[in-house]
Amino acid sequence: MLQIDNVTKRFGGLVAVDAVSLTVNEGEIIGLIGPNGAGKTTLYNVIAGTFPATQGSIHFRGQRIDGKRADETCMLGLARTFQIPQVFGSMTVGDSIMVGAFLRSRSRRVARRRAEEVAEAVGLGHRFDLPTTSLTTAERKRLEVARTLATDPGMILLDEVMAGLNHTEVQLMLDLVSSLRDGGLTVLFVEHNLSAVMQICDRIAVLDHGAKIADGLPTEVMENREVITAYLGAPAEDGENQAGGDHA
Amino acid sequence: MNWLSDYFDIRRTDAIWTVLLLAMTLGLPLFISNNYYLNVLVLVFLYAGMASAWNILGGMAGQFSLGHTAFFGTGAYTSTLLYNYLGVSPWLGLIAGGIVSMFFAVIIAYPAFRMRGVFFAMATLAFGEAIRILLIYSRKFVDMPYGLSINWEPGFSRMIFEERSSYAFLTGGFLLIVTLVAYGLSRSYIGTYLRAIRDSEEAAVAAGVPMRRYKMIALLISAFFTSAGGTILAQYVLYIEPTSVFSINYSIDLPLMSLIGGIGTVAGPILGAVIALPLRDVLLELFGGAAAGMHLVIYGVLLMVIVIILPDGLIGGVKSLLRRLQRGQTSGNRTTDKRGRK
Ligand SMILES: Nc1ncnc2c1ncn2[C@@H]1O[C@H](COP(=O)(O)OP(=O)(O)O)[C@@H](O)[C@H]1O
Ligand SMILES: [Mg+2]
Repeated sequence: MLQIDNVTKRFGGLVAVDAVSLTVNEGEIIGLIGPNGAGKTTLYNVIAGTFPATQGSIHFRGQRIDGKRADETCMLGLARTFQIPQVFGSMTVGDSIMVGAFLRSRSRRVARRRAEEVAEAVGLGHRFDLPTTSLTTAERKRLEVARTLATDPGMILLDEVMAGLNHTEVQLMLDLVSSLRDGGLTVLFVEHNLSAVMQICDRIAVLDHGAKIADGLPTEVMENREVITAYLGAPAEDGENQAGGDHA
Repeated sequence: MNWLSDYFDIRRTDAIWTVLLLAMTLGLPLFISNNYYLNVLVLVFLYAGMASAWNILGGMAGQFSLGHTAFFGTGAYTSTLLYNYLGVSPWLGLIAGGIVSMFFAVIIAYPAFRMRGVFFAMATLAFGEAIRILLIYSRKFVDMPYGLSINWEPGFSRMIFEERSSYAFLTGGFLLIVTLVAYGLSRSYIGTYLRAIRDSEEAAVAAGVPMRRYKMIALLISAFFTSAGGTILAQYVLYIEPTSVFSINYSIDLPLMSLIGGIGTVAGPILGAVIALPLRDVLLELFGGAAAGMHLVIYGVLLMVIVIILPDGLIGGVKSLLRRLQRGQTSGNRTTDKRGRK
């Protein structure tokens, strides 16, 4: 489904993503973990087309997508969420989801129906006509997911959709992601919450300082020396990592 | 007619607005016979139409242009030159001017759409100034008088009328067409796309919106109708010169009227023009004699007060008042906290 080959992204002298290769098969949920600043969000930006890659190639459904713009990759069925929710501040929840739905139909009636379905699925049905600015953090994260789902993607890139959520909210989000997978969606999943990642992912890849240091089954990866050092060797991470630390 | 409600968000209250607008644009010119008031009416219609055109780009799409005088002047100059030198009907000149303006729009879009906010405003401002300076400078090489007069020969095909009320119908029709276009855009998926771009470019693009294309659509439509306004004004005044039709005042007045009435809304720019233009006239009459420029100082202060009290313009103010009244009715005498939540 998604094939990343030897992708590097430099910001001036900083190598944010360092020769990363990763393959995601159709229907899989892959967790992408790593300490803060490891390059996870940057890798998403490169895949989605927000930034061009410095080197390497990316294929989606057999088609080369590096060099394409973010709206073009979205059109092809690859949609992403933002780590910091980007809400449309002047709109209602329903209208913001419709922005995504308009990609597949210009009809307001069709787009609205699709938006209502998606809002229901992510648990924002009762918020449909409220302004986005009235949403809580947890609800904004759901809205991020809703906007991407409304574009009818084949694969979604989730960026820390659980950060800042409480235990119940995390559980609801996990249920949502599993139900999406059951619906045939392929998911790449950046998350700090390790227990959530362990529960749900088929495979886990670990980034550290931009490079991929491990890739395998959740249990294998968690026993990997390098991974343990990467996490424990970065004490500054502790504050960031509350939710994950509690369970890991 | 069913597809209409599929593609456009049509609301019940729209009927009231339509009746009001039709009564204003088609009714008032019939009933007003005083030439002074007819002149005000012509200018209000013309400015309202152009402010609506500006608002498509500056309000709905959030690209705050300060260079619309470039399109206005281009419209006035293109049709006037075509008429004076080649005898082309101003109706065709209006279309030609619109096309030339859209051509300029494409040129400015290339650098300007890479910038955001203040930087976009500054780039468009510089563009508007540059066109006027280029025009004045070009007279060194082209034999053209500084000002261009149009001979007063009334005739429909020449877009010159004996009666001032005919100009009121002309500008009223212009306002109707621009408003219909703005309404159609605003209530279709395009309006939603433009607002998405205004609110968050990143999120819009991530949701599959081809941002450049939709900014360009807004700019082209906005440029075309502003340019048409330039042609119409030239046919009304029958005299143009670089400093008058490429005046920075147009670049400022159009956004100002949108802000006063309610930026980004369909009715806002119209309301803004209806209030701002007569207000300036009244102030000029009251204070114009006392001290030169006094009326402009008072005008400026009044505008500041309006913008501070009503950050979302008059439309926004009325809406929040209605909401407050509604809440007052439904919740009876239950108390609400400061934010109005129960
Ligand atoms: N737009 C940018 N310009 C310059 N440096 C950036 C930019 N985006 C991210 N970085 C840097 O790239 C590195 C990786 O950041 P990021 O991808 O956000 O990490 P993660 O998402 O894994 O926490 C960090 O050192 C960050 O400062
Ligand atoms: Mg990140």
